[in-house]
Amino acid sequence: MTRKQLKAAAVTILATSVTLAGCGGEQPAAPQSKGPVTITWWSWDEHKFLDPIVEKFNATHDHIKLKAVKQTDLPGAAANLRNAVAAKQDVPCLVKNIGEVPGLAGEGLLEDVTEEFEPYTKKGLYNEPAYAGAQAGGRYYGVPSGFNPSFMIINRTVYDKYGIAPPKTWDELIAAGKELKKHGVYVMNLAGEDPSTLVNLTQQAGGTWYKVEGNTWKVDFLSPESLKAAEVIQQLVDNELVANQTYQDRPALIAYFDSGKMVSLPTSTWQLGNYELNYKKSLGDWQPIDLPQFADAPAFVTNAHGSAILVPKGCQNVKEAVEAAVWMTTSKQAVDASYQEDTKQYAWPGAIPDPSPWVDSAVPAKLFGERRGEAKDVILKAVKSARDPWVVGPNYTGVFTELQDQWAQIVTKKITVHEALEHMQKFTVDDLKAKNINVQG
Amino acid sequence: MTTTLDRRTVTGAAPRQPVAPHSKRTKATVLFGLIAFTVYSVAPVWWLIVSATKGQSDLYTTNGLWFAEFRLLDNFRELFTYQDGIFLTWMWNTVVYSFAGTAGMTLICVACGYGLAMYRFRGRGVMMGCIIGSFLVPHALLTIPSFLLYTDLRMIDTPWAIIVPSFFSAFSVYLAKVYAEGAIPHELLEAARIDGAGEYRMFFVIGARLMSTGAATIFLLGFVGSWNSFFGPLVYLRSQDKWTVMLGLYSWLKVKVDNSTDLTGLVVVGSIVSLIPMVALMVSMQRYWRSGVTLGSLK
Repeated sequence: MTRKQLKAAAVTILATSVTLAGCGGEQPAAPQSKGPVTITWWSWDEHKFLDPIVEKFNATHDHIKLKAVKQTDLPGAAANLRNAVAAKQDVPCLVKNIGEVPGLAGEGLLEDVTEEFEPYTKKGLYNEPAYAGAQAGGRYYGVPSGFNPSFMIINRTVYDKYGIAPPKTWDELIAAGKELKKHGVYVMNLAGEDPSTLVNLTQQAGGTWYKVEGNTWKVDFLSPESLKAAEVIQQLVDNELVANQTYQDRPALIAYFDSGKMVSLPTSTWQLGNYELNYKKSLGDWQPIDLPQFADAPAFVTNAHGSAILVPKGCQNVKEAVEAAVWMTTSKQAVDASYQEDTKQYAWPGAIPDPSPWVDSAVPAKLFGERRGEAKDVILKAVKSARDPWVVGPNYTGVFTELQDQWAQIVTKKITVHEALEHMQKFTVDDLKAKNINVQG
Repeated sequence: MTTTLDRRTVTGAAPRQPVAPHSKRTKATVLFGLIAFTVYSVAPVWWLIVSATKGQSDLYTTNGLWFAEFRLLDNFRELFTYQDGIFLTWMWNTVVYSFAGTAGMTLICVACGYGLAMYRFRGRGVMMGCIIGSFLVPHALLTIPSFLLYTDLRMIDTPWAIIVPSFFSAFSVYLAKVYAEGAIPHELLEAARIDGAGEYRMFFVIGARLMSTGAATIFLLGFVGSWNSFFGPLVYLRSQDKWTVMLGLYSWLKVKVDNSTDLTGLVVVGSIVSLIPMVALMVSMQRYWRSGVTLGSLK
């Protein structure tokens, strides 16, 4: 290579890199003072769900513009968020919930928005249980997006066929299960990979597996509330009253629910449309009923654990981000904009105190037959009686995975629920200690 | 006296052992193995073709290897109209990224391989060692550093984040070097030098032409890799309108996890359509591909 050629090559390389650098993405967002502030919102929902909300927001706000960026799925969004926060550039200001707030805040992924969000808590925009889902250690790291109310649907036709009354308590459900078993019918389904029934029952009993005291985590899997939940599960398993259909094969699962061989489903508003769409035989046989209670419960209560729209660390316009998220989660305009023509449903407004204007749309036309009218009261009662005592620890993701392994052994009768809880107590404490986190338990 | 001489005595060659005919059992075993392997290879493609003709509910409830109600045209219509034809945008993006990236990669790697094979210079061995050594570095290990680098270069969420990294492929350099060593005689280059040709001219007029078969192989392998790449687009692209077809299909498959919409039917049909460019390329470059692969065995 001659010197001339070397020079030419060097100039070419330099020019190429300058061009490439010029072709890059947006400049890093700086706090904007003039014109509307653009808030980027990451979600993995389909555009047909996102776009109407963005359009409505932008039509009704001058000083903030919302821009939705679709992610592939939850793990994809989580990976992208971690990368963006690490790079400190092009960090979005709002992200759909990718996990539990305490763990994400502990990881340094979230912005403390307490100062910006606190004023909204005094306006009565939110229902009480919604707040917990956006908090860690008493601080807000996002805006509450609320919860789905918990209730039960039962195949009333099968219950009537065998002369069994709808259960009001878990004890009655177990008794109903024993009766149904004689006819080859299971009272409930406990999938081998999903321990959420144990979690939900613990929440309903008012329990939590983690607590924060000062700067120390307290772990208690063997609290009275937790053991009360364990007792219900244990009886269902010991007496072989439950099916173990997996959620992995959704079509087979729905077909099984439809068959009349399994007759009670703890459920929520977002699942009803799916049942309506896929049931072939049992449409009209189902009845919405209140979630069964613990026999000694002082008042009617349903479990609820809300989630949040997250504000990531490095967001340049926290105040506007919070304002936009509050609008999305509490305004009538936002809920109305979420209406889907094909399913004739609104997104469930899980954060607001009174969702009654939208309840009707959440109840499908044929699933409950002539009992459709009962659904509204059941759902609204579930919202009003919802409680969220649940505190999530910083290692809950790993703990839940371990709990799934234990759960598989519970439903196959290899270990008791009590033994599983003892194991989880030790596992969780050891894991926190290994991560150098202050823990008692 | 006449003597009958057979060939063996004339040539003095050792007597050849008659080759034992294959036993029936061996033949049957080989045949069975081949049939089993064919079924194993073709069954997924057959499933894909059959499933593409089915409606959403038949997809789950009917035999996966045989047809039900024929809904292929409806499926295509839905595929190309869903979300204003976003699938076609993904296809076009993938074509652009793959062609641009692979063409650049082929040129760079062929030149690099030619240089390593044809010139003697200080540090050549070390450079070759680095190239071979880089095979051992897991791609996942480079994700975060690459992400930070592209962020600094302002390449995140632009096509450059996909195209530029695919310009560089250590394995293709190695392949090009090995190919150049076998395909380009040094004497030819010496003759060209004596005739007064410059080094660039020698590469483009002689080297590159003699290496065209190898280059086609490198292009084909690179294109297939680029077309199917998933992790890079997942990490470096943000906006849906810049996604590749693989990323788009993956996101459709995940929709049913969160709500009652199920786009699995679209994913199946989309998968078939996404195969078409690859099949077309394979068929059109078959000539190069075959001769490129078998070249070493015939020399």
